Amino acid sequence: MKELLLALAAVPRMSVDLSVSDGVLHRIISIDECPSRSFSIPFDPAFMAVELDTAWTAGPGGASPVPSWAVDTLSQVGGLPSALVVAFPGAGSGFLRAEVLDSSGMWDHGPWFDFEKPGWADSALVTARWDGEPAWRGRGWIRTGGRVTAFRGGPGAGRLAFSWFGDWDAFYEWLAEDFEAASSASSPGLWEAAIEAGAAGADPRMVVARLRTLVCNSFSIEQPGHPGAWFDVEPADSVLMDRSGDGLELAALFSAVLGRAGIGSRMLLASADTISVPIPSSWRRALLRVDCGTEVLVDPSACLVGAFFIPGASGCRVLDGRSGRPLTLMVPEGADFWREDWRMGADGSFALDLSAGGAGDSIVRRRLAFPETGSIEAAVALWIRTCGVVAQVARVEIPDLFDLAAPVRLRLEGRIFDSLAAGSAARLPLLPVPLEAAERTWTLPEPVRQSSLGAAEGRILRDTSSVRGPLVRL
Amino acid sequence: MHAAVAAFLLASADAVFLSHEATVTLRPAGAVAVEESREVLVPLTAAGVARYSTLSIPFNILAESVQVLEAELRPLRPGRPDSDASMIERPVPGLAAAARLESNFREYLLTFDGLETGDTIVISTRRTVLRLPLADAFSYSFYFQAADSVASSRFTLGAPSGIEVHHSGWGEPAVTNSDGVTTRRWTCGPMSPLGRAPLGIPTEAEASRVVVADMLPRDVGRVLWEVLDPGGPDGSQLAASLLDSVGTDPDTLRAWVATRIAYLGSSIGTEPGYSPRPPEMTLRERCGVCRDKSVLLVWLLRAAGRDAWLGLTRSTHPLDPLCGIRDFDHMVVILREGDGLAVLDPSTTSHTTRCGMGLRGLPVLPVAPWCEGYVTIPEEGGDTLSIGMRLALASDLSVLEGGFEAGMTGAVDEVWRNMLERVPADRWPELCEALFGADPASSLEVAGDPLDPLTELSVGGRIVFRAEAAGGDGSLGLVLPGLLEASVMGSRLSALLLARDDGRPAGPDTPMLEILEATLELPAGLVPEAGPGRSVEGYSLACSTEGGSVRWSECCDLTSGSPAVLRERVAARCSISGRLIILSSGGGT
Repeated sequence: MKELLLALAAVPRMSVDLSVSDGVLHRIISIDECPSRSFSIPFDPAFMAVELDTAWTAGPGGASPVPSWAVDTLSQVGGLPSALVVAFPGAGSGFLRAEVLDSSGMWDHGPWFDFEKPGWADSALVTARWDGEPAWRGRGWIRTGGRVTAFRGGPGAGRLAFSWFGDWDAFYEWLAEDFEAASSASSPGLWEAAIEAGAAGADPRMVVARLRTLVCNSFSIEQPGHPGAWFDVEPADSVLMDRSGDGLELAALFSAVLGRAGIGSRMLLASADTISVPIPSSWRRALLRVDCGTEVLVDPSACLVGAFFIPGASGCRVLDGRSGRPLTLMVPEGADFWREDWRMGADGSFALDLSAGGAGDSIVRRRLAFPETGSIEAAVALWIRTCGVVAQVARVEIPDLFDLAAPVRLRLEGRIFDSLAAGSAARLPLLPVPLEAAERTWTLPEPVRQSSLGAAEGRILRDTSSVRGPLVRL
Repeated sequence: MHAAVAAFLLASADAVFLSHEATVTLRPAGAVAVEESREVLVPLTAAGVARYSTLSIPFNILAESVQVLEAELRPLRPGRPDSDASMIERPVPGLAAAARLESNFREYLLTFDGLETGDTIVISTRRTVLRLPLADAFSYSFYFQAADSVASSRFTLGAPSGIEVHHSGWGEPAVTNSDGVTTRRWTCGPMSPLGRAPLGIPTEAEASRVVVADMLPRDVGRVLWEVLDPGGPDGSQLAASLLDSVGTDPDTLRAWVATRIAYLGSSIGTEPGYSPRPPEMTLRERCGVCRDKSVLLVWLLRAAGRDAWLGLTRSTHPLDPLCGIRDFDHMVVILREGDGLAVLDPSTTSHTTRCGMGLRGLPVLPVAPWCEGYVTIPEEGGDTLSIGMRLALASDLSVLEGGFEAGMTGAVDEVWRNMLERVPADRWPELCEALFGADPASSLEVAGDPLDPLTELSVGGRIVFRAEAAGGDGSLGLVLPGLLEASVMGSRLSALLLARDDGRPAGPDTPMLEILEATLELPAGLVPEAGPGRSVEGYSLACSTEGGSVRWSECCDLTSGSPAVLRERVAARCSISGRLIILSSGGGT
């Protein structure tokens, strides 16, 4: 039998079969001629079980079963918490059959799947059993009909996504069902939080900003794992008590506290995925549209960004459950700014004042809150180095980067190693950032005669374009 | 706490350990040892909150049992009740990514939800060491100092009076005897934090500590020899045929084992996670981790008539003067050649040298009957980046363009191989542009296979630099591209060196001797005037002109030197004025 299978599996390939029975998804995975040394099947033990039916290797010396030591269940970093790992020892290629059971309750509307053919597989076959016609997208995939829905992908096949969800608003309602109940929870703690956030006559924007800082600094923010865990939302009072939750749970808490403070809000599911198939795993981000007099958007669980900044907003789509389709997120203009004001001394010393907002603000917070180098001065020096100038940064003054309500300001002092005396040349330092709105000025110790970049006005050199230190000759 | 003491303790700390205690009871009934610890700490900054919100307690489930006796969060702000940490048990993360199917290495992960600055964490644990793998060699290291402040600490060791116990490090203990148990106690007052610093050495290597062990390293090496040494191949056909095809040169054999035996670990043998596979098994299954590969290499080298032995070390930080079986995390091969010895690491492919740079200078314990203690992994040196460029300045003075070649040896070569391994081959040109500071219009290619330690690695092709020129008074100043621009690895190291002035010891990064030789042809009609050059100890820049061409060379030694000397060196390297040439039309400036 094994020899027959080997003969049939002449090319590296992968197949997946999906079916739902009694609310449990059965996913049967087969791989043939896998050239990799190992194959992993990620799973979440809270909802899923993996059973390895068979695994063997085949090479010039024939086929042999994978030994027991070559199968293990390990922890994963990111994504689903565990993985069944099967190693294929020896010089041959690997074969495997496994079944994954998923009882997360995410399958009431049939199987849905988001699949990327592994690079080693020349072909892939995905089959699914459910009545009706699925919505699907997949470059390089061919759909075949019949009693079983089948998708075949060749060597160039890209991502495949399909589901039996038909209506975007119904999709939103189904996903947000737990959220509505969770954010309606009531407890004295929620009232206390609302009172604290609104203390000293705070207006609605200040309340939101204070809550943003509180949530990001006093709550453990769980990363999205299995969609079943994500869309199973704990009540807001439990989240407040536990001081821990994922993005959707923190949005529910945020919404509940705002409600006690008399501020209305509506949850939007957000996604950076542009695929036009309703796939729950793509919508694992929760924003709030908050009525602060004017409507503002808030990402309750975005850490180390300004209180009203939405990371990754460009290209982001949202579901509001009312529009019948995903909407492109509209980002307010003018929120991003970046101003560097450098004062250069004739001895090479310098001082910088930086102010930033929007995306610029988040760049500073995220770059300097936890410097990998162990010192903030070294982190800034490495940042300046990317413009081609190696500087000695002696002193950095920075506000509390974890106070999301206060805008970022940065002041630093240091020196570069070329004298700025008349007749010399120097490359001036700057902090490269991927922002069109970056503005920089350098006040020089001597009048600038001519420079290669920017516009010179006496001792002031202005530059709004360069990402490499401008060269000046004095 | 006294204000002056508090200020001393909290300077630059992200947290303070109010109390830091451990008690080790050696040879209690039914176990090798019981290790109990109690920590009371307060995070002082957001970084401290991030560091202590989740804590990992690793253990080997086949040899140890761990109990978390207390894991409590005591909030500072009123209105929040004390709460217990949540806890999960799981295989240590990272095993899957490292291809190690060894789920017996596990951890308890404690999470203190909602931890804020100023809160207090209390953690008490008891680890019962049921048995020690491979050899009955126990050791324990207690640190009086940490990355954060420690207000007070205490370490107690209780051992049956008949047992010989060795200790090294933090002074002499207070000793008492009672009921056949000898108790040794070390105490320590406030200790300042050893926060991370750029190019810093591991905290474990810098911190004040005491190490206790029931065996001297010499004896550990000899005992382990009896259980780990693979012996000789005894006429194995497998070994003979392999030597026939690969040869008997130690470096070639090391490279063969590194490249042909896939890195894959498994929990097999009498001591899963510690027992190596028999060499024939490793050869047959073509997979193994450091212990399997080293055993195979020793076996092959002995078949080739070499004097080869196993060696154990610790890759994260140097072994202490005393060690036990749990202290080692890496196995290598010791090759005795005449009066000297070499250390070969067959685990990784990314170095052409016998050992990766991360192991240089580390102590290694020979697993041999002749073991007298540690030997040191030699510093091989030869860490060079050589850059050659033949450039021409475009007639519109916009770019400098021309031929480029770069060669790497030693540590530089190793870093390059590591980077190339992690980047898809079609992105290598982009990586080269980034690391040589070149314009995207360049066309640079990598020659050689980064996965084959027996081939040389180099980069060549056409390089383009944007011309950096500033004018005035009818003349033009042009900056010649130097090490600052063309050796980005060296510039990064320079920035980090300049950030170090705290007087603490600096650890190695990527030692490198940078050498640049370059020429520039100017458009017709332009006459160059070269700068004076520059020279300080370990750095030199020379520049000369001949007609319409310029020749310059630059050399910077970033291999060794005190931080102060290195800072002076890189300050000279960072200057561009020495590479500024003045261009004028026709008859000079």
